[in-house]
Amino acid sequence: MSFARELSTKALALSLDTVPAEAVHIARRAIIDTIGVALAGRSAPYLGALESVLEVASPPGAATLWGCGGRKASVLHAAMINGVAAHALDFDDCSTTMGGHPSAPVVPAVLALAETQGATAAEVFAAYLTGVEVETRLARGLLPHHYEKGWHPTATLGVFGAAAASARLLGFDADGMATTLAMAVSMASGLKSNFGTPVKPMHVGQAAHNGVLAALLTRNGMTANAEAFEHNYGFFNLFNGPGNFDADAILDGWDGPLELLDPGIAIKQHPCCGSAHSAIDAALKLVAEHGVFAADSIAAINTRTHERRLAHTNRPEPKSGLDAKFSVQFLTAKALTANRIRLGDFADDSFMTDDIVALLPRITSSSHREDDAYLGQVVVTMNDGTVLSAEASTKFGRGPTNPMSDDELREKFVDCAGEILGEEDAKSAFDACLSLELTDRMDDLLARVAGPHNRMEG
Amino acid sequence: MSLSHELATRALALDPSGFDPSALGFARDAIADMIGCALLGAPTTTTEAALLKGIQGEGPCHVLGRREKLGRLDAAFVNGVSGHALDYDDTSKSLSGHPTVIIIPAILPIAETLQTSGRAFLDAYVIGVEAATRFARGVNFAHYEKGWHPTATLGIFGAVVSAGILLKLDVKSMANAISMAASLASGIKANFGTDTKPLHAGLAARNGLFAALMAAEGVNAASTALEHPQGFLEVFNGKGHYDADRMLTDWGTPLDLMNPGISIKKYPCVYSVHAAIDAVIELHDGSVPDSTAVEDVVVRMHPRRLLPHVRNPATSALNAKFSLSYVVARGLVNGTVRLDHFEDSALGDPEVMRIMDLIRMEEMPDDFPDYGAEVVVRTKDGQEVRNRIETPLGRGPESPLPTEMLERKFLDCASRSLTADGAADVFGMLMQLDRLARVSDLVAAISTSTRPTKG
Repeated sequence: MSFARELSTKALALSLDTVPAEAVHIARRAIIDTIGVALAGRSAPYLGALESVLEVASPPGAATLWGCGGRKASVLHAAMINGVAAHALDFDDCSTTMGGHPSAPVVPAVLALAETQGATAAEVFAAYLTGVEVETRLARGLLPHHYEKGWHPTATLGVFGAAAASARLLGFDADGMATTLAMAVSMASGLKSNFGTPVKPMHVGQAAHNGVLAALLTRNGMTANAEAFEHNYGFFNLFNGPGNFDADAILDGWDGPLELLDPGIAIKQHPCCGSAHSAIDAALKLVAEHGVFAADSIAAINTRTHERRLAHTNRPEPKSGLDAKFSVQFLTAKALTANRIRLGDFADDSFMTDDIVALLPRITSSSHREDDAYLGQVVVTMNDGTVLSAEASTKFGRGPTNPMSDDELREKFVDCAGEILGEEDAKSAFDACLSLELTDRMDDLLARVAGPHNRMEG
Repeated sequence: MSLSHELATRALALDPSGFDPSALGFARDAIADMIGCALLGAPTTTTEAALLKGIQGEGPCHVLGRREKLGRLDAAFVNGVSGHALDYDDTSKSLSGHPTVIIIPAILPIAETLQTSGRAFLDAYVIGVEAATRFARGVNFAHYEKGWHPTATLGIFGAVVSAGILLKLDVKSMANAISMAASLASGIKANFGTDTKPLHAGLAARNGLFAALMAAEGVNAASTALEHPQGFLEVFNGKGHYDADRMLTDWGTPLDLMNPGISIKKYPCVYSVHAAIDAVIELHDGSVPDSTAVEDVVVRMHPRRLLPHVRNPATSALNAKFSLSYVVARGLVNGTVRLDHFEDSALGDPEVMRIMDLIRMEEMPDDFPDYGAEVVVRTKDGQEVRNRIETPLGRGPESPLPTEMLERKFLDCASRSLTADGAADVFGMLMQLDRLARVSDLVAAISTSTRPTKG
């Protein structure tokens, strides 16, 4: 049996009837978190360019553009635009297995197709789980080489997540899903050399778009070679190279725990550089124990993070909002005095508050070489001489071993979506997603995240 | 200066006023041929699938040989798929692939909507071919041999540059467009033999146009996307398997269209038998007009070309496309080899079968031209005539394709979707492309001549 067909057979065997209930809850959370970060990302200037290149305005489409006041685009364009927005701020969820972002290529594809197909939440969850399992299990046999070579796995593996999820949503059998995946082999692209530019989020939108495209073309009868992965001129040999992949590692273990649950996916809680998250979380532990700190009660702060993390976050005097996102000193001070980090903390004209100005000269940062590269420690010396300290280990975000509560996730969503949806509507959109019944269709949720009609102009 | 910037600079430095008129002639022929191939592919199920009816919205751009009109990117996509659907489109030795079916679908939607002149369209195509083939010189043949499909993975660079020329991008934007295209390049040979091969062409055309349009909107990409340690050259070819300097030398001196140039397929069958067909068609048009007088035929070719699949006796429409004896017999009987000769109903022609039985195939010595052929025919009156073709007609500047042969192929292809009169008119316009005021007139003429599709 071809690799693609074997993978498809295993992926199609996943069923909501047999997966732990927790998996469905994680799917609900991932869907709303992906929409949230996309709403926050709507302000990215290149989204307007993208819409004009795609000529979204001309024919009315069938799939909702999140946060655009009810404006719709074709299912392909919606997958692309929502996908780009979802990764615009790099605030979307992460998978260490994948070396990338599992939900951003999958959720836009699934929701766009679900809207045009009138799919139920159960079908959406099944498609989401299928997509994430396929892309992350592919990564098990392809990383780290795939990533180190220069491919962008969120795109080059994400396209298979989007393709598998789309095939599942369209009700394909194993042959249909295999054809879809084999066709997607010919659409996989995205180079790390384009990181740091708008092309990076564009990779993700393109992956979502191409996954849907492969499924739609398969439905229309187009053919592909089901052996496109293992072929001499196939995906494994071309993208990784002989000796640099392990197909068995991809196909084994489907009877074990879901990748989604173990090791799981991690949600980014703070809208800033991941290398500072452990220091922020240590600071937040101190706040939880001692209450929010008044800047003038603190004599000194010391942060301690791994040297590889500190290398690019040691910015004691941030010069701009963007600079502040990478400053472990700024971020620790913000966490201690505000009890959270918000998107709004990084506006160029207001990021430097009085509290921060007062505290920055009192902060020192040192590095460690502990085995746990994600370990962060914060020591606060109060004016009265009291020394308070805490530590945390936060790997790219908060996953199963250190989960964000639903309330914390709601706070993140409201921070992301509040500007477009308004705070109250943002809260209710979040609650609507978390309480989706399996038989519900997605229309109500999609209407809620479209936002008010005065945003139609986009 | 980054590699994308260097390439952009060279593309923009090419001066169309200095283009060799014969290069423009080859360009015109290649464009006419590609449009013919799209008109052939338009009614196929492959194109039908790519239209994604009910999903893609309508737009201002024509789909060649169809009544549907689509947005720019979607039109580029479908025209690319239909142009490559039958694999009857031209090839470039430098590219190891099909250049025109990526470049023309990418720029046609711009030309149509911006009222581009025929000459500007032609010039943009010439620059696109130059860009793709210079780029290819730096990565081939390792790129092809590794398993990438250069029509797509390198053709996209021709498409993006060509589109960038029509969009009048400056050097900086053109460099951004090239860098962005690097992140959109895809297509592997594992999918050959399926609909996904023509799909590659549609995707590369669409993505090349996409990158140019995004750059025109001011969107940036990384300047070092090609030469970065995690950039196109390292990731697609790998260390030691490319030479970036070769990409940057000899632009336009001469144009790749002049040397080695583009090769046009005249017959809808495997290329290795084309010289033999040329040889017998010349005999048919000369001393052997009546095949019933023939009583012996010898065909001699290079051993590399006389492979088992070429020696097959044409038992199906598919293997007839590889059958040397079938196509030689057809040439002697009909003086032409057309698309309808490869339909099942044509295979049993008694006179063709009689000639096939007479044909003997012999190997020439190793120094015989790679794609040449020699044919010796003896007639019942005892006369023996011999004809040797060193290079098949249409194989670039060394053996230019006579316009009548190009026209014959075009009309054969176009008959699948245009009216006969319309096809003749369109061919006439294509031969005058450099004097056409607006490409949109050409597209409109194609549209007017398009017959309604069945079903």
